[in-house]
Amino acid sequence: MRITTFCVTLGLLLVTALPAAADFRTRISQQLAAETTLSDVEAEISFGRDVAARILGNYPQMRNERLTRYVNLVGKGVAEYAGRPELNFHFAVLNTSSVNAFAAPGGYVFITKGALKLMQDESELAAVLAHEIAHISEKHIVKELNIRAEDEEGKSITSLVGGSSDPIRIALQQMVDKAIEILFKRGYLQEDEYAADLAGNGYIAMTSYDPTALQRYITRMQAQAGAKTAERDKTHPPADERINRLGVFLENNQLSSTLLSFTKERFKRYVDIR
Amino acid sequence: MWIFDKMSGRGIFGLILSTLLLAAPALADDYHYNNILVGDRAAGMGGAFTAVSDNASGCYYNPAGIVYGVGSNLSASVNAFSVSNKTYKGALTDVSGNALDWEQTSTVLLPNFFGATYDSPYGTLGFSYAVPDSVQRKQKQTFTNIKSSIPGAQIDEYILNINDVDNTYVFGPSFGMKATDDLSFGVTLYGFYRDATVIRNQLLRVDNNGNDEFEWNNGYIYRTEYGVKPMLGAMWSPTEKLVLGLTVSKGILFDSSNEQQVTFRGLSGYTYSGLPDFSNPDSLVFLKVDDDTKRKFPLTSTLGLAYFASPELLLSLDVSYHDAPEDGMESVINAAAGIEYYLTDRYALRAGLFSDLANTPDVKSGVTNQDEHVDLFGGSISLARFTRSTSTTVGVTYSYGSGDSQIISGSSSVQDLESSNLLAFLSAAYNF
Repeated sequence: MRITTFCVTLGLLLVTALPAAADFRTRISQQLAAETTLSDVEAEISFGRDVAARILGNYPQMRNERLTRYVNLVGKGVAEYAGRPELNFHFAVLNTSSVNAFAAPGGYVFITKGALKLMQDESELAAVLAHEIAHISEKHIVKELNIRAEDEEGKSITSLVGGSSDPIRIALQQMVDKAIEILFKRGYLQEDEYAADLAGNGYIAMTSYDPTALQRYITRMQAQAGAKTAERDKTHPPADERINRLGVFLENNQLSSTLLSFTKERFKRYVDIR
Repeated sequence: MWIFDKMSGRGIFGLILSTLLLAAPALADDYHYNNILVGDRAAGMGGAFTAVSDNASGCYYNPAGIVYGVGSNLSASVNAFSVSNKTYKGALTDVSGNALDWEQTSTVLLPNFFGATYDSPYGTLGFSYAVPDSVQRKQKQTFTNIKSSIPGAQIDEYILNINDVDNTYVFGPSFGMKATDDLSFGVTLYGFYRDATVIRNQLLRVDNNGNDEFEWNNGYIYRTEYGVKPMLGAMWSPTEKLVLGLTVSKGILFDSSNEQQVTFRGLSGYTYSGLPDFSNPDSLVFLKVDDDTKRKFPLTSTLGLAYFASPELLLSLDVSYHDAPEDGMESVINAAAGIEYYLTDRYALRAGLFSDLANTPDVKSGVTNQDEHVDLFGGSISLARFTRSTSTTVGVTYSYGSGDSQIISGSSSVQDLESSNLLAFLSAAYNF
């Protein structure tokens, strides 16, 4: 039963990973734009590193090696199912009571101390990390800002990252500014948030975590809405809608009643936020 | 010297001013509607683009299609080299009875299209500039021993120089938006500007009853036109892979200036209608006409059909109807068919066929001063190379037709006319 469910989920993920309803107008030459090259990945990682540095400029990293190692182990386990083997995912805890999590392109994931405090078990941690991993694996910022390596006949991010001249450095800075604006102010596109919810839920189901964990976490976050969740609330779609869509997804894939791992004890052992 | 103030009809270029009576010259090709195909994809497909139009050149062909472009698009025809040729068969006859052809050639090198589209939350915005008609016609011919219509006179030498520069520009914004996933509407509001200059100089050395005399005729036309050319477009996909496109457009002139001047010296002892005699070799006639009559343009409706057979193959068909905008002009139906086939994901071959029919009536026998009538038929072929964000296209279009003309004013004789147009173009497009 579990294997069947996972196979269905994997199939669904593969389907959602394809371009939305292949438009008959699309010409074969347009596939070139969709191809990812090694240079694109390098550009994505390089850009993401700059965005990550700006995130750490906003919130300091929590200096807790044991906790950081634990979050990395959980995150890397989930990331195994994200379909981006070319990326080396890094996870860090931000020392702020604000309830939030961030993803920078290239594999950089941050979760706040406030978010950890709100969680009750490892599956919820895995679900939140999976949501952020999905933003990276689905290249939501990369696609929105059109970050890719240099086309031989066009300008691109590679030359921007190279920073060979002042105008190029300024352009790169503007791109990073836009990414920070997405993360902290404007938020992702709503459809990207919903897509990250569903894809992330698929990842944790395949990792054998409780697939209802994100629903539980969002419900709790909604109940405790206030100053600490304000930043997250303004950059995310309404919680009710997210919960409803997750419910439909779980129901359609027979995951709503699947009893998988909560791993509450281990979570309590490593995450001791006061 | 005296001034001839006001003329009508064909203007003073058509007056009987010479022992060799050339007709009023046409400026750029006012007799056809498909003089230059624009756009990197569209030109290669014979202009059959009304139901495709999914890049910046859609601003020109059908603004409803620009909403289906992928990302923002910038398209430019970097260079287009146009060569056109008209040969009036047997326009002249020499004293031995041999027919002599009158030949005009135009060569133009110009960027003939630039367009850009941008996605916005409300729809797709566009801006484009196009040169749908451009002529730099030159004629430099010398004929000897030509028959004259004057009894007792023979044209020993006839030197003809014509320099005709005539460009039409359209430029302006476009907006397209989706009504549903399968239906879109769009509008383009082009400003219209035309600037034309014709200089014609002809010198005839005539044996006038044993006297060696010269007849000289120097003419100048300067024409400017300002107006708008709005276009409304719709695009509908009734089924997967099939798209219908419809556009309606009409040019409207706000201002037109047409200035014609002729300086003339005639032969002595010969009576030119309404002009003094030229027994005094220093007497010249200067004629000048200013005419602000505004040309009328046809209402043009184009229906396009496109079949996106596969990601590698696209077929398209356009049928255009141009009504008769003025008395003496005829309605025209043109058709174009195009194909686009991707050899690989980096190379596409495009080809097309098109008609470019004349808006003038057939030339009739026994009638004088008729406009030429030549129906043109053409083909196009281009090769495009793609990278992830750019495409570069090289191609050619060629059209040819034969018909009739009356190059001699006041004469009912009809000349065969052959006309050909060759356009080589290099275009680039950039998606960003």
